[in-house]
Amino acid sequence: MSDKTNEKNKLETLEKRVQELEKENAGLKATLEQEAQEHEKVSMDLAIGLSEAFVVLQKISQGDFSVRASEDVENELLARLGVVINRTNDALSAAKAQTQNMIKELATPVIRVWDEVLVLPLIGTLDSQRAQHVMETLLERITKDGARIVILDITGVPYVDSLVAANIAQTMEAVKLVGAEGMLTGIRAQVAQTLVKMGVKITGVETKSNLAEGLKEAFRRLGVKAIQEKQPGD
Amino acid sequence: MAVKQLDALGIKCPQPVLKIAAMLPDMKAGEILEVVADCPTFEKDVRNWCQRLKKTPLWFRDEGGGKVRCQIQF
Repeated sequence: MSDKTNEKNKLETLEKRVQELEKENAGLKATLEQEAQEHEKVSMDLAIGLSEAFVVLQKISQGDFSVRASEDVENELLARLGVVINRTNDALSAAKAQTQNMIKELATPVIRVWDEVLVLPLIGTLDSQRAQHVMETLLERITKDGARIVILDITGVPYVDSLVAANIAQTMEAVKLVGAEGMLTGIRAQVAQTLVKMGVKITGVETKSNLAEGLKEAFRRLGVKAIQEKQPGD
Repeated sequence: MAVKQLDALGIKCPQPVLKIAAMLPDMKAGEILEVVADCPTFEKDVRNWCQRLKKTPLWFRDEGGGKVRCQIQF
């Protein structure tokens, strides 16, 4: 075989190898492009998922517990994040509801001071919403305990206007309708003056200066005698 | 209303979008964020992000040298 033929064969072999390498290179390039595309998709999905989680957390931080994070997403990390956010949201929402219930209960402490005698000492401002709650709680307790006399003590209510007076009158009216007698105690001098100046009248309700007087009247009506024990040395 | 600024130059996507996301707690509804970035997929990614997060991309401007500026209304 001549040198020329040898050279030709070598060249052909090299050309074949170049073609193979080019093919291999094209394959690798395609794989790399595909991987880059997949990487970009995953990255964007993560970025958007985190953004959505941010939005949900922002709403929760503003007290909106109705929002839900996505749990049914392809990315496992985002799905877990969604689950944790929703669990936190549920716990916060439950804690808020519990606190509200506690506040409601504390706002209407109905006390059974004697058989058939209930006292409701009100403290703080009495708006329409609270007045409605007071009425509901009181009527429920009257029915449950079979109370005959109910004393609404407003010593701790700093301000009584016409709306509050109307709410109190309505409550007392409702007390009568369920078969009990209502009594209003603790109208402070300042409150009494305000009511007179405003021309507000609380009609049809027996009033007493303080809770002690109210209790005495309740015992008198029930025929109960309260005897004060003598102190040693008296 | 002042337009808030965000510099996302020199970082690759999705980091600019994550930086925008991190601004979410500071942005009120209707406020505008201006972002400048030089990531090649920035415009596409921001448009995608805005669509998913229901935000409004106001405009995109090619400032040359791969730099893109945009405004987003929250």
